[in-house]
Amino acid sequence: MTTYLDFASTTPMAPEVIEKMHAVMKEDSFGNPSSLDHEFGLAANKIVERSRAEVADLINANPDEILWTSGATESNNLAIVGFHQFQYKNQAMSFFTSHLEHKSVIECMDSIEALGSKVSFIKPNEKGRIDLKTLSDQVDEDAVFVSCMHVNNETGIINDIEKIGKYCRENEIIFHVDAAQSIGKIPIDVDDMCIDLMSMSAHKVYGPKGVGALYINKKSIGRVKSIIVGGGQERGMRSGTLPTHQIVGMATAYKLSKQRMHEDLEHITQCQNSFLKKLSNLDDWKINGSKEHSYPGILSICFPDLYSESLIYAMEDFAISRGSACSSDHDEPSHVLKSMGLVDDEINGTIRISFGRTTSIEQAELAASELINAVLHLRKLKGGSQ
Amino acid sequence: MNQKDAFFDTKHVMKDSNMKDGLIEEQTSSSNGMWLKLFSRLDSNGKSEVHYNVHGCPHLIAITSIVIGDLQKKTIQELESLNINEYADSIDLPKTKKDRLFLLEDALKGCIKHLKKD
Repeated sequence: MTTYLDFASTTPMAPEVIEKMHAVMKEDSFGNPSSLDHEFGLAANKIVERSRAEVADLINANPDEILWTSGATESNNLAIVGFHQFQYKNQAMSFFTSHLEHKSVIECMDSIEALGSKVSFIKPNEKGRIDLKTLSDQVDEDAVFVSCMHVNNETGIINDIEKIGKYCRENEIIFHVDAAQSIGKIPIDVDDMCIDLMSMSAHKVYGPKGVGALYINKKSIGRVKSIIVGGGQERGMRSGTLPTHQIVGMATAYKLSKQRMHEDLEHITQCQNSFLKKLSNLDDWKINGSKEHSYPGILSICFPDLYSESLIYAMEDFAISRGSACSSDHDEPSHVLKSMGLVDDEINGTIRISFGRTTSIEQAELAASELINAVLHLRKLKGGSQ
Repeated sequence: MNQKDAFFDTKHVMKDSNMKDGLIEEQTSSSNGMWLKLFSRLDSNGKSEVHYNVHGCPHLIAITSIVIGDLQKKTIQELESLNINEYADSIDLPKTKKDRLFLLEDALKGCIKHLKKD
């Protein structure tokens, strides 16, 4: 049976999440949560609001600062485009982000740039992290918005959100964080971290796909302009009937993550350590980024002399992913690795291994052994000595 | 041989490209960094011996392994009559990866040219 080691891509739903979602689908809570004139709608609404409070609780927010969306991609769109549309008064604004971000941030930035606003990209350091000094040197006095992801989906690198948030708050710059990879895995306090907008996802943390949320700081932002219209749900900021069962799934996943965060992190760190210890017997590879300041569940490993697609194929008992899409015939090389200064061979030879709650230490060790065999096989094919 | 078996098969892999031992080298490469090296010679009966080194995607590796397996103990005429395109179906080569066949075809052509000169 294939072992799943692609938890950065998505996670299996926790049994508790499935159970709760199932119960909601079976019970008389199928009503439209916006139909408050009868008991069916009221029952669904009660579940939605309870879930909202549970999501808020994980990040130290108020429930009315949580807006349901279809996932982190929509949350990023709503945060950036919605903010831009709400604030835009026929005067260009200055936005800052980096090429470390998910495409849903970068392409939103492209769209507001097309409307006349200015978008600047902050260069990450060679470890794939945003340095506050680089950011503060680059940010000009016209800056109104900074978007910076918490944990990078390709390298696992953790940005110092608290430092960047404090800098933005002091300089009256709106601070957006894409927390799709960090929510429920490492602690987040939107208050301490001075976050104004934050995108969240459910499926990266053992919840269902198709649901997410956007945190909107009530004091500093209050509102964004809806990018999906027709219904006026979510206080007019996001139209569409709310999916009660998915929302309860997300809230259950977040509640569980809060309870298990320390235990999960410790276990995943052990998985990473066991994997790397075994891999240390092998030559000519490196970690993209670093072990320091990174989430241990995501490992980006580079074999500059090999082709990642073949490495993945050779690791037939494990589901892992390419660190980038460079070696595919259609896609562009990873913009994240490129922005970190990696050359084509390094990008082509990068794989991503991501551990999760259900990964065992034994599986992590076996993955390292199979990776070693795959590397030796491919090097033999190239004519190298073993 | 199926794609998986071919991918892992190392029977005709050139173990050490520095130890050519009379084998003639022919190398082709593609723009996306993949390459293929063939090492060949004819024995006293005029029959071929071909080895290879390869770097690239699983499809290139598998199809190289299959084709090189079929190139053994062939006369130059038999090598010339080989149609590389016919191998595409043996590993379900996606249309977007057709260029892997060209890489192989070019290497084989170069190889035959060397053998003829020899």
